[in-house]
Amino acid sequence: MLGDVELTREPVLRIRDLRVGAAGGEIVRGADLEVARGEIVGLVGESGCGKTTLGLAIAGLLGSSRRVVGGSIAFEGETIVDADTDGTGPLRGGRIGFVPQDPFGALDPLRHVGPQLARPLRLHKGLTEEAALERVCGLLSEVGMGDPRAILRKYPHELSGGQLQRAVIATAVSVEPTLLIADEPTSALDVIVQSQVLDALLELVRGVGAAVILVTHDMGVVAETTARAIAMYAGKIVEFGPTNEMLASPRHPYLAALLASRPHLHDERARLFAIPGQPPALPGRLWSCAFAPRCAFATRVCTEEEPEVAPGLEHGFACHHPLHDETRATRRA
Amino acid sequence: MTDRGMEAGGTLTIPETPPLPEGIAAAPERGERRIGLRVGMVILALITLVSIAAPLAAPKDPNRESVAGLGPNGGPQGPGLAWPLGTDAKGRDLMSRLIYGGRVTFGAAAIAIALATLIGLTIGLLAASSGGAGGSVLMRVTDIGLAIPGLLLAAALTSVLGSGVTSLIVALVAVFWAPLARVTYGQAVVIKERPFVDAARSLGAGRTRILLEEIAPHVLPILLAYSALCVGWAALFESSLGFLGLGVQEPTSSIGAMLGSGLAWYRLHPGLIIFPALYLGLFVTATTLIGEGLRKPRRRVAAPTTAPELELMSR
Amino acid sequence: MSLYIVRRLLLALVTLWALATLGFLLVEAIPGDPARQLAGPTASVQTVERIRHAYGFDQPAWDRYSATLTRYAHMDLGYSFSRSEDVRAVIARDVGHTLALTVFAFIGELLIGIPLALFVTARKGRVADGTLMAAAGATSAIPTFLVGLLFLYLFSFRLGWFPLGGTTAGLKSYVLPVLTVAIPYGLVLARILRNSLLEELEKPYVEFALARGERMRRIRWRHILPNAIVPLFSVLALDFAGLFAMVAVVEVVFSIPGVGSDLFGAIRRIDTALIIGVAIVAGLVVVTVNLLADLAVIAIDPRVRRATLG
Repeated sequence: MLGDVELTREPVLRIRDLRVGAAGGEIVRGADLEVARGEIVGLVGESGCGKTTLGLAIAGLLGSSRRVVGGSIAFEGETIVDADTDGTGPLRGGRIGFVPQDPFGALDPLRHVGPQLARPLRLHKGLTEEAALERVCGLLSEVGMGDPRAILRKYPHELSGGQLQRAVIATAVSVEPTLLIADEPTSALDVIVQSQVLDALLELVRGVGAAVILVTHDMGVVAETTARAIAMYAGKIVEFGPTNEMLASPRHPYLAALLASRPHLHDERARLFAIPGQPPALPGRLWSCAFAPRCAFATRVCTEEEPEVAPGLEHGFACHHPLHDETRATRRA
Repeated sequence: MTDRGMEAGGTLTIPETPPLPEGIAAAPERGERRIGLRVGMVILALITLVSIAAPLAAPKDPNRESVAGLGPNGGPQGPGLAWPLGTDAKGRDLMSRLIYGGRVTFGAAAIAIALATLIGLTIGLLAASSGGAGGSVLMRVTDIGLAIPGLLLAAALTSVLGSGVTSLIVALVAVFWAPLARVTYGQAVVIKERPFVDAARSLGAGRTRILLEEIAPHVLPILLAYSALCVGWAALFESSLGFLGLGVQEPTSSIGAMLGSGLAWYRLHPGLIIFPALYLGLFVTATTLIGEGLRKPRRRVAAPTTAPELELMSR
Repeated sequence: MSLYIVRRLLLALVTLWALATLGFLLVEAIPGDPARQLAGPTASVQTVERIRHAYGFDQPAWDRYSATLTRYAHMDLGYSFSRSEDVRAVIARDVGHTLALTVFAFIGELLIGIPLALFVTARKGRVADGTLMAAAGATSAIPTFLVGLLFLYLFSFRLGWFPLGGTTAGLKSYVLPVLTVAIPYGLVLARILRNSLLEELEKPYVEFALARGERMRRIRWRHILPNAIVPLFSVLALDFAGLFAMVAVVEVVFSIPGVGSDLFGAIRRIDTALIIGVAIVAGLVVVTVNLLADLAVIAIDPRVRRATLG
């Protein structure tokens, strides 16, 4: 964006072996991840796979029941989180923005929408209330909301889910963050408004050049909006790569199964595929592939050794028996 | 995990089932509650035993006034060999009066709450099941009952009905039916919306049957927990009434009457207040432990209602 | 005025009617000759007859009932033989003390309960939490008037910091009675509010406020506390009723000439008219406070406002 080569090369976010612990185990078990400036990355997986927790860890919103127990998060070259410290505080809502899953509960029901939406600008940009409201108004009309002034004077319960979520996104983007974590920003909404909200998100983000981590379980959303995707299973990143490649030829059987379980628009008679079983709850340290019990390709080695991602790949995966494996020979070499 | 480890280390046994994650089982807290429940039961059992066997447990006749029991100034005596807890202003043995008084107070509280629970259960279930106008009228009546300051209602009732254990029980029932009806209603309304009630309805079960077989069994555990708490609070109520000079009258002993009559002497003989207060406190603690223990059921069908209205009755 | 407020006022009227009926039933429940008891043991035959007529004991029950309602509508609470004046006059003179104590105690309860609940929920240390629970449990295991007695003994009798009773020392004589009631009520309020706060703490608006960069302290005071307290308004109104009754009892301990002391004296003399009068006035206070609490919720909570005012 800025044309500065050094800056562009430095990833906005670099996560190394991040582990998040909760009572009874680890929810994120060693995640490595880099996000470049202005890049939109999809983070996919079933519910309970740790993708939301990973997002919250980056945003510094883990709360009291979960905490980072290992690894580190570096933001714009500076380590902000490791097992001992959580330095996201000053960044939260400023340089790192967050869009929550449930727009209906995201605002205090007892207070008007406007002042709540104006807070980030007041906190991080030092704007006055009027100036902040003015700015938010501009953003709201930018995402196609009619009469933004009236909306700011309303209470949260007087707005629709789509309106609320666009307002929430607008307020998160209003301070021009470098990184935006969007935690399933559309899954609580009606299907009809989902794309509307997603468009609003993309437009606003493009305007400020922020990088986005889009947490979702909707592969369609990933396909439409992201250049790169990451699949998580049981607290581990099991596959990552360019989105089109991952969707066209998934290497990990889990991702393949996830893609296969989408309803097919063109074949009405096709039965919906379901992955048998459920992801393991709160896994601790494992000595096998976490997906092995549900995997059609599992062999003995899968139950004896947890696969790791081979280093240095653009399209990486953690599997003993990857699909579409023409590259097996090169990987061995 | 540390709590669990300490438990296991203490008994040197290997658990047969793998330990559940702490966050899910919340094992230590539940264990504490079970212990509280057990302690409460033991205290209550002891008090009950002493109360039933009062003629055997009491060292003397509680109502016999004696000159020997009076001190040199014509007042009460402090604790001594002849009078374990001392005597009251009429030379009566304090310990015997305490044992008999506890019997009256705790017995009246238990009977009154049993009746109030029955009334509250009936009204709450009827209001929840009939819905519509009938139900709302019932709950409005309950709200009115809830709004009248219990202590003053009880004071008016006992003073009108005259002294005696019966009028005391009537007054306690008049105070405690409303909150118990409210708890029943609150719980029943939640249960009514549960899928298994819909399932029963879709199978053709009638309204009465749903009420008795599907809803009541899930309301009862919570209601009983609150009833247990209410027994203690009813005993506290009796003490306030007795202090005001209402309820049980001379020569019959009750905790409240003892506190009321002890007031004149408490600076010289604090035992006249302290011993009844301690005995009452022990009883209330036992009922509270039991009530709190029962409030967390092992199988959770519905989240236990937190009934702040009821919590207020604790004073 | 909206339909809801009309209905709410109607409900208050119905409650008042129920209260009057309760007063009627209480008089009906007097065993023996009620006129004789209401007139007092030393009353002349003429006085007894006058009361018999005023209450309608010489008429059928239905007329008696309507006579009672009419009397209450005129704020006529009967005649107190032990005080040799109208019950209304006695209560009008003394209720000020009781109301003042109740209001002070209510403020004290909030001043103790709210910060305590915030403190306990702010730190996850189990010690503070456990201590609050235990303290609330302990104060609910002893009658409140005994707490008053203890305070009186310690701070007045032993230490001499406060007067031994009465209202001659001005505001100073209010301190102990107010604390006596406010402390146990504040502890239980803290416990109730704590549960409500912990529930609110999990709400998504807290997470989003943090995500905006707000400080937890501000979120606690501006968002969590109001949201936790509004649902407790009806409870607080009931609380006020309980406080009023408890203040009445504590007045006796501290010899404060409020309606509680009137009640105490009336009980000694079996002055039934005065006893029922005090209960009715207490009910009146409660109806008013409940009404105010409901209106306050409408004023504060926009969702309720929309549901009720349309």
